[in-house]
Amino acid sequence: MKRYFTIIIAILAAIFAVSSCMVDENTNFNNTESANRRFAANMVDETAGNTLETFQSLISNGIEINEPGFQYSSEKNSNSGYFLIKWISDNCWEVSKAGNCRRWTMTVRYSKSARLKTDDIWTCSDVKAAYDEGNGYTATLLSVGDIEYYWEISYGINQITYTLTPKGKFSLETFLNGSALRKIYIEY
Amino acid sequence: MHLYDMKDITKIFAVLAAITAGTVAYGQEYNYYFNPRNERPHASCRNMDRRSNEMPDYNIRVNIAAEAPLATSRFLYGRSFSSYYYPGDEDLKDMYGDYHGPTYSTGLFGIGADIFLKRWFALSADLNFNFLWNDRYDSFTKDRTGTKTGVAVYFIPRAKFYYLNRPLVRLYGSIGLGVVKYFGFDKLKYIETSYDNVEFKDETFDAAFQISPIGIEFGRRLFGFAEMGAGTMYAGFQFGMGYRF
Repeated sequence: MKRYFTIIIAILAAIFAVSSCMVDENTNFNNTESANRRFAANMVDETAGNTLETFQSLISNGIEINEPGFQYSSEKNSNSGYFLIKWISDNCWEVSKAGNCRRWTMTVRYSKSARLKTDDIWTCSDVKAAYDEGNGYTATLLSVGDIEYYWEISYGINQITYTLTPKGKFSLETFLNGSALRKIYIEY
Repeated sequence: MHLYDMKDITKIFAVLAAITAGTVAYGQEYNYYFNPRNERPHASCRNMDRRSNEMPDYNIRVNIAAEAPLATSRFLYGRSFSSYYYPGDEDLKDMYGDYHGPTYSTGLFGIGADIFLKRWFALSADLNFNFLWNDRYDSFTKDRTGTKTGVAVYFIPRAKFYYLNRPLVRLYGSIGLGVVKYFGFDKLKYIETSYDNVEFKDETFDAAFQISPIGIEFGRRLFGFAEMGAGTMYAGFQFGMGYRF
């Protein structure tokens, strides 16, 4: 009986040793150039880019935004963020915006010019967006010079799509507890 | 010439009768032991069963199985089937935090016990463990910073239904519902935020189920078993040894 138990235990131990095996060979290394660029591009879209959708929406609803004293703000308890648009001068506005859970805040100056009757060109200047995760990680997005948003037209089978596309350069710098980690540039 | 008197003849017949009786009795016993169709319990098995003529009351088992993919997924990525989206590489913490190397596992191992209520039905309980670990590295310097270890503890009571029940071989199926507790699975603890609310989530304690449509036990008192099944504990095959009493 003792011999049988010894054999059984030896077999189980051998199976155990074989069972202590690699179950996942993947790694989650994400500090890559592409990941940093993707983060920066997402931040550009959420800050400078998405605000233009609000401008376009106001214009399409017939609201006159280019008049002295114009001011527009979103609902303060909105989960999608909060922003305030203030008229500064002719075709020039200042926008302050906060993202979801106030993770990021932004100030930027927009101006509009029309090359053609139906082709508005939006220019962003002095883009400053601050990002804070609340765990020590922060980031700062700055525009390098003016950023121009122009309409890109794509033709489908049954429709024509207009997309505001940026042209310019941004810099993104990341920090951990105030210490600089990485600085990258993305250019459109 | 020696003549046998009646006393001597009587003694001879008595000895012959005793030999004959002993031989027949031994033949009966011997014949029963190797006759699987004999319904009477074997002398050494007479005390094995009190409810039926063939089955003991209790089993204790040692189980092993390959690791459960669900445990690996939860160790590495958190909730695998939750509809809540857990921020991944969109967070700077995910990008710049320590990253892990390949992940290893001991596989599933543990103990179990069965109590027979009927010839075809037994109540079973399993207590199993699954250890996982991987090394951590700094995402900037690539230096190893430590080892992350987690263990999943499963407790699953099961109902076992015996399709075939013989002294030497048994076929069964089982279904079970229990609980699992994850220790060291940090991805299952996270913070869910909305505009004006912060909620701490702890999903390390969860329900567990296991179903096995077919399993086989072979052996009398000391037996081995193999079963095929799917569920929280394992997906595939489980093996082990046990003792019946």
